[in-house]
Amino acid sequence: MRRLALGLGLAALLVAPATAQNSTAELLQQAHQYYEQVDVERALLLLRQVVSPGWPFEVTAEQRVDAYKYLGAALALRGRADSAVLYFRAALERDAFTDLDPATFTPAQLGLFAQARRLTFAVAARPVSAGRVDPRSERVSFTVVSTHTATLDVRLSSVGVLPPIGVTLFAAVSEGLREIDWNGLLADGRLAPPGRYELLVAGQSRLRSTWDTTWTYFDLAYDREPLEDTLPALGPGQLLAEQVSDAAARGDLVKALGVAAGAVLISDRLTNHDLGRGMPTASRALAGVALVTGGISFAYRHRHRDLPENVAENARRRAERSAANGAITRRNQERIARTVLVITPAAGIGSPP
Amino acid sequence: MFVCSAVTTPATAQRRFEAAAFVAAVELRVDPGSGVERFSGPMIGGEALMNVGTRWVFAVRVGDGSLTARTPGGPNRDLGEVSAEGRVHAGTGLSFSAGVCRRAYSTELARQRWNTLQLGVEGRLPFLGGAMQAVARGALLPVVAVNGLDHPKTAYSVGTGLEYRLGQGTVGIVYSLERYDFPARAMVRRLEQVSALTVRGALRFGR
Repeated sequence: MRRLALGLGLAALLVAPATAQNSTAELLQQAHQYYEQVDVERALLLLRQVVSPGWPFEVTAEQRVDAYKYLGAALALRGRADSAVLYFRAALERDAFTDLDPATFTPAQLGLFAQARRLTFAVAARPVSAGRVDPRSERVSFTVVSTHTATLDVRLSSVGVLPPIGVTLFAAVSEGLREIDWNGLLADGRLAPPGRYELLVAGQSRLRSTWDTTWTYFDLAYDREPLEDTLPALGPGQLLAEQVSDAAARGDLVKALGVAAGAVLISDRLTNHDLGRGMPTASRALAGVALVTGGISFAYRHRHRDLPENVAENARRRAERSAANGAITRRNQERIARTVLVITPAAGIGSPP
Repeated sequence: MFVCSAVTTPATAQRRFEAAAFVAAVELRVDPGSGVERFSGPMIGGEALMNVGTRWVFAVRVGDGSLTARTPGGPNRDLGEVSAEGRVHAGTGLSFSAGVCRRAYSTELARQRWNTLQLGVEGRLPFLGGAMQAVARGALLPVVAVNGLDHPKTAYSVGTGLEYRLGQGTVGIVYSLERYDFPARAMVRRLEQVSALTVRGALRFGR
């Protein structure tokens, strides 16, 4: 029996939040029904319970706004204009998107609501909806609102990037709801880079000396084929020497001397001593040819340092690299042009997921 | 043997042929145990090479010469030679070769045949931006079969020279030496030595 009581208690704790919300929702629904039946007194009684500080159950922001709106509407039906305006203002202050459907509410109610709008100033932006947008043919849509005529400044800027990059989407006088489209480009025409963005709405009332701001955040990502890296610049090891160095010229001379010395060594030292030297005249003739050739080579390379074949080969390699990079750049531009923007709502400033 | 060691060109194409002609000044020194005999004279010949791939070269050569006795008592000799060689390029400027050579010295009285096997290495160093090459080579002759003689104790060939590249052709000049020290027989030791200065021109064909 004791265990059963404990289990019931635990179950009650687990379902408590849902029950609390349901209680508020049920009460609001019942109030709506009374309102529809023009049982204004009962509707007011229930709605006042919802907005009362003593109401024991959880009330969401939407439920509270709804309660204030219907309180205003009910009081307007009762002819209590000032109180109706007060509650309409409370609703507008909490949610600037609050509105009355002209098909459902009376002209008197609509008039009082309009009065509340003029007395209250607030701006709001709807959370950005998730989706995929092809910037070539589609637009990212933002919905903002001001309760009455105001100078609106709607700006999109990156978060966590220094210096911040951004674009002004709207800067003009506006009233009520406004849809603002964004093509995904920055002011300089480049596609906005991936990252977290802030949509800042700042409004200056045209009727009252007051202002209001609001923010909403979203993450922007790219969906496209990976871009190719361009080829790096040709390094020293990838280019031929375009001029003969002093060391190379001396090296030629040393090689020629090596041939001359080799010929003399062979004829004088590698022969059999008993047979005598092998054609010493011939070996010295070759040595002479080698020395003359080496000397001419040394002098020639000192005077003609340019290596036209190497210059041409280097130019060919550079042109080849440039052409390859051009092709890579073209392919990348085609991929960038096909980029699809992936929009995801975000909670606030923070590291993107 | 100076024909065997004539200048060759590294292969760079998939298949390429090369035809060459050479002329050489040759000196033969022989000490049969009774004093040094010296012969010298010209020799001419031809050569055909085939490059297979980028590493292998196969060559055949023929040569013919006439050696005049420069010391009293010895008869003049005619010299004929045919050889075949395979060469593989082991790296930049370095190659290894193996070849066989058949040579004949002929006089009015007799003919002496030499059959040799040579294992050699050749190094090339470019200069003047590759327009010329310095050449050095050496080879051991592990098999030297001469009719009427034993196998020599010492047998090698060495050479050095220059090669000039002129378009599709090359011109080379090489000094070379072959040395044969035969073992003593009946207290008599035979020595032979062939020196040559060879000028060779070659022309490349094919890809």
